[in-house]
Amino acid sequence: MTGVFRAAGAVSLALAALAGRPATDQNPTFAGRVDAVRVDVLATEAGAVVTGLTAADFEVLDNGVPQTIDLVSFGELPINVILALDMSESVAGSRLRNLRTAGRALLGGVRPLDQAALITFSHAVVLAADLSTDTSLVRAALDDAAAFGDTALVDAAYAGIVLGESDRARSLLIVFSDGLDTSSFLDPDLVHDTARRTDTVVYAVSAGIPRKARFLGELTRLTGGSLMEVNGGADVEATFLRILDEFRQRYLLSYSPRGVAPGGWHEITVRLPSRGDAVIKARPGYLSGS
Amino acid sequence: MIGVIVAWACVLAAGQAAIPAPAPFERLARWTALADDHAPGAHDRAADDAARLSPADLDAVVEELERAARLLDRAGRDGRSPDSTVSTDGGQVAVSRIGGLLGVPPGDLQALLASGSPEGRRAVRAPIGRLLERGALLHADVAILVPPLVRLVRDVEPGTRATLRVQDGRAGGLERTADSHVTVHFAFGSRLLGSDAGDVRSDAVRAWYRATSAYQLAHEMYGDVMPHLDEARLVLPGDPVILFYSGALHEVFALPRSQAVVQSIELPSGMEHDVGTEAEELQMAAAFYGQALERDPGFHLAALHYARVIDQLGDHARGRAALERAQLALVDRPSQYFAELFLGDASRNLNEADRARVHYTRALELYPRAQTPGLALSALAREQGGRERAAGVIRTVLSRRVGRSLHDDPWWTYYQAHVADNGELLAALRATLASDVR
Repeated sequence: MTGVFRAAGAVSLALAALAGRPATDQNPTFAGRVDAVRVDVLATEAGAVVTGLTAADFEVLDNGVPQTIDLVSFGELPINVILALDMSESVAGSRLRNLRTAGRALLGGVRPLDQAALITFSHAVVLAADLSTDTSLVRAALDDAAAFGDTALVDAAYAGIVLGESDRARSLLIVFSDGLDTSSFLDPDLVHDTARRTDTVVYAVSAGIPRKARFLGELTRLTGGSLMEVNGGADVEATFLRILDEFRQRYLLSYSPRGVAPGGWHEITVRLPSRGDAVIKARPGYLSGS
Repeated sequence: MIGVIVAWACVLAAGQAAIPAPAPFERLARWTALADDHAPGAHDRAADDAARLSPADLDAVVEELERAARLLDRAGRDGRSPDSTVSTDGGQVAVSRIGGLLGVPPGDLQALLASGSPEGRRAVRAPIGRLLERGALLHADVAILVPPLVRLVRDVEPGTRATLRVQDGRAGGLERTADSHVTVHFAFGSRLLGSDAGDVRSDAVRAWYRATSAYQLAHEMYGDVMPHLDEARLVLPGDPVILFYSGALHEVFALPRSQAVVQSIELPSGMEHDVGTEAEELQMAAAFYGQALERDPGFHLAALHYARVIDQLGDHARGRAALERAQLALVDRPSQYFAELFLGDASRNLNEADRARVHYTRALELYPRAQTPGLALSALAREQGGRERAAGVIRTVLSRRVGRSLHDDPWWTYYQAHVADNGELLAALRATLASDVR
């Protein structure tokens, strides 16, 4: 596409799935708590993850109303790792090779009870490998992926979120893109709205997405994840591994909302009263009933 | 997306072949030979030679052509014989040679010179008009068929336009519009058609602007098509197709693929781009589509896109009603598909999920390998709280069985949907004008 610009100088005129996996002790606990709210929380202090916390250490407010935390878990739960990788034209060549290497490295960090999936996107969004504990399926799909076409980033992010929340385990969605959305059908606002309803945590890894491109930043903020910028191939691999490690060190809090009106947007505040310097990262709220 | 970025070295190595200092009407003689030798639609030697003409050469061609036409007219008024000569820059030229250069048959020339009457002079203007038409076609073919040499620049002069090369949503380099191969040759074609030298047929002008505009839109030459359409609206005021294309340009500017470019660029101080916000572009699109429909209420494709834009602007009820009316008249499968998709969106916007589901499902029935209706159905289910249903649809539509060819899902080429007939328009233009080649 060519766009039009006019130099203006001083005058300034316009220029121009889950089969085969043994159930864990923890999972059925969530399955029975229809109204429970899950909040993935990352607690850091001076840049280091704070470990060893219990429910008594956390304070959770739902629309400003203190809640009773039913459960805090840390680290041991199996997770779902969903990779949504940009396979548009701009990734062809060395970038694709680096992305495959980074993907394989990430899969190397996936534990036996974890599940992994691969979504690739260009103008088409493809579920190249569905959630499975058999990571060789994801590896094979990664090796088969080819780069071509436009970038349906918004559609792919939606697919990743929905895939992630289809399973009861904690889900981590890692979206990698080096471009801007150029061909999605779904409205970014709709996908952000879906993000407000989900407990899938989205991390985005971008290679030079411009500051003005707000979609991924807002998506990660709404789900309590992070947007990370990378430079080269080795950087992508290190970033993928860092995300996986960070996600495993997050606390999963669960509470049943009490004292708040049902429906609508609920703002969540998570604090560590005994650690005033700790930095908490969690989703900012949720849409009730969704 | 067009992503051709050619290095400076290519431009420097190729250079440009200027026409040497002229004998009387030598530039015109060489150019008329190219126009006559060119086979419409062919990337032939005439097209390559015409592509080497610099903007200054082209200016000289037009100047000589118009001067020759004036001399011929004056010769008729003065009752000159074909063998007589007239004085012009660079020497004496026989009246018969001027007539020959302008494509005037000897018989017509004889009649003009014998009578000197207004009828005789008008008779001469018709073959000159055919020459102008052939010339306009030649230079359209140059713009379309001859690979351009792209000269990227760091800066452009204040008050001038530049074209931004874009690949996969990302800005590449700037090109001075005045240097653009496409700009130069399409502009020259339109200049020929606007010349007073001869009588160009209005049907030929209309066909030329429609075909060349459609081509540029289809090939995402937005930097060039914007001024091209501005001019087309001046030349063909009220032409519904040109108004429709103008609306299409702004609708495309509202699409993510255009808005992404706006987000990605960091322009130098003092430069602004022509792409407005999504809402601004949709409003512009609605205005042009509306004008097209005022001129031609039976313009069903314009009605479809107008209704879509109305819905996107927030008037969902009116948008849906307009979509339903437009849908009744649409016969081609891609347009029916878009109508169902957009009716689905409008219904969802009106919180009528069941109705939206029906439309998205119909869209899927029209293109079973398309994934866009599936994404929409999944999102609809998710909005209703149906996590499992939403994921189930996603698993189905995003599986490997789903098509990935651009033909499998018309949404993937929506930005070209307005001009799906651009190839036919060009072929018709070339066939029409080819019949006039001497």
